[in-house]
Amino acid sequence: MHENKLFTSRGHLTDDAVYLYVDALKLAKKELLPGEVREHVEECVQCKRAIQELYDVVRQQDYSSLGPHPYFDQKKIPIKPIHRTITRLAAAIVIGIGLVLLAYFYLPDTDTPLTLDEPVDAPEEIEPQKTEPAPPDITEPDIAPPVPEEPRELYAANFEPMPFYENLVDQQFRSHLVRVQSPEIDEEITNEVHFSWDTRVPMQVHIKILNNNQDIVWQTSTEEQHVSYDTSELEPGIYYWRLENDEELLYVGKFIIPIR
Amino acid sequence: MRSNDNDIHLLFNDPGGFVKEHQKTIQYVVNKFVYTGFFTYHDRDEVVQYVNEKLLTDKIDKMQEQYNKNYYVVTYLSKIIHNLCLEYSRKQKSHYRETTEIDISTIDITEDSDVSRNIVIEEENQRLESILSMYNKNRNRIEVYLKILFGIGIKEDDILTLYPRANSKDIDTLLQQCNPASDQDKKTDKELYEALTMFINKYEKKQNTADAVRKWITSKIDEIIELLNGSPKTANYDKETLKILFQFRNKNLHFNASG
Repeated sequence: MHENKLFTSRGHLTDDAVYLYVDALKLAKKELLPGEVREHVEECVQCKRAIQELYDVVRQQDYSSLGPHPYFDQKKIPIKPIHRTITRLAAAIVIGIGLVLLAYFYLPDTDTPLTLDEPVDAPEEIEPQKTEPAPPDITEPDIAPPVPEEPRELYAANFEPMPFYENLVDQQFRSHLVRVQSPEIDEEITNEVHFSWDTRVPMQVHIKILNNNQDIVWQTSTEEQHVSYDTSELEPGIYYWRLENDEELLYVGKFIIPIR
Repeated sequence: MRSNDNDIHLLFNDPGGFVKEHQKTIQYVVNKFVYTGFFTYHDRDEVVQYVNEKLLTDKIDKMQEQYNKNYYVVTYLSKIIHNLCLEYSRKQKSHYRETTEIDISTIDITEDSDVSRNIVIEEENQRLESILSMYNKNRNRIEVYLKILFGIGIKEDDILTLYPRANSKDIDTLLQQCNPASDQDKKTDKELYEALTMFINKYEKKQNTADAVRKWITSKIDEIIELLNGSPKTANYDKETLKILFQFRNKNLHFNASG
């Protein structure tokens, strides 16, 4: 099996990219194609010709039994999980090293009084009963010190942008005129996220919030032009939101839940 | 039912079974060539046999090597079969092509026209839809410009889709020019290009001439016609027949193209 390249050395779509594009047309998932592929085809007659030629061949074939598409219905593009795993592994290693260092410096030592926490230059400001916990019981060495949190490392993977949706953010699709007022792209949300938009034609819309693993974490439908959601249950990270009507995707936005 | 996972399994573990499983796909693609007059009906079985032999002796190995599992196997296979049909045609020098190019201008699309003709139009409309969708960000622009030039008429929403900040006065002016109340008020192509160019220049802050806009639109029309005609050529579109298809697409069935 050969590697997945989208462009030839001459800058046109590879056969693989043509097949992928044709599948996108068959499945009406063109918006999930990589942005550079869509942009190239927009300008290139030669690639349009190659796509249309194959699309004419498969247009009426029945794809209904083929099951999930290996690219469009994947939670991640193929190289993504590897990258994600590496990131998580790196985060785990950093946390592990941190824990070892903390254990080395902070573990109660029977020979030394617990004075490391006390600022050297301001000992008088610290009340003894607060800075000096009960003497450690040296007969119970299995009592571990409190595990320090490393939130930035723990949530690092949640802040990886998702290429599929990055290409779609802030684009307007098809002919429905939707003006999105909030949230702003990349807005940091600390409490409630307020979605508000303006469609020229009244319609029922569906709002879906997805994490950067493409999991839908919340969704609702409304005929209003605004809706709010309390984000306190969401982990820190990047979130994408989709505004759809019954027929199509209208808008993709993005917001951030910062580390609290 | 055949799933993509099953296709992948057969392709890599049971090539004979894979080809057997895809006899319908082979026949489907070959039939398309027969339908468009590339082969005669009598050639059909021979072409199917040729495709089967080539797949088993040569192409399956290459498919195993090349397939990268990011798209459906059947899409890839269809392309291989399509190429084998062209290869067979070249070897046999069989270019019948006598009567089967689709010429939409010969089709009578009225409310009482028969169902099969409407199916042909609908299929051509689907092809036009796929072509327009490839224009990505320019798609709406092309559709609106063609509506204007083909005399289909536009609505306020069409303009606002392209130019959300257009003011009401400018919109009304353009609508009046593009949607004439009577034939007497109908603008010439030159007048339409001029009106459109003024609008584009104002809201895109450009300095285009009407001729430059005309050339851009003409190039897009030529591209769409070329793509509709197919490769190998299976249809016979020109600007007039594209206009007919476009009118159909926009649900304006007030025409009879049989003459």
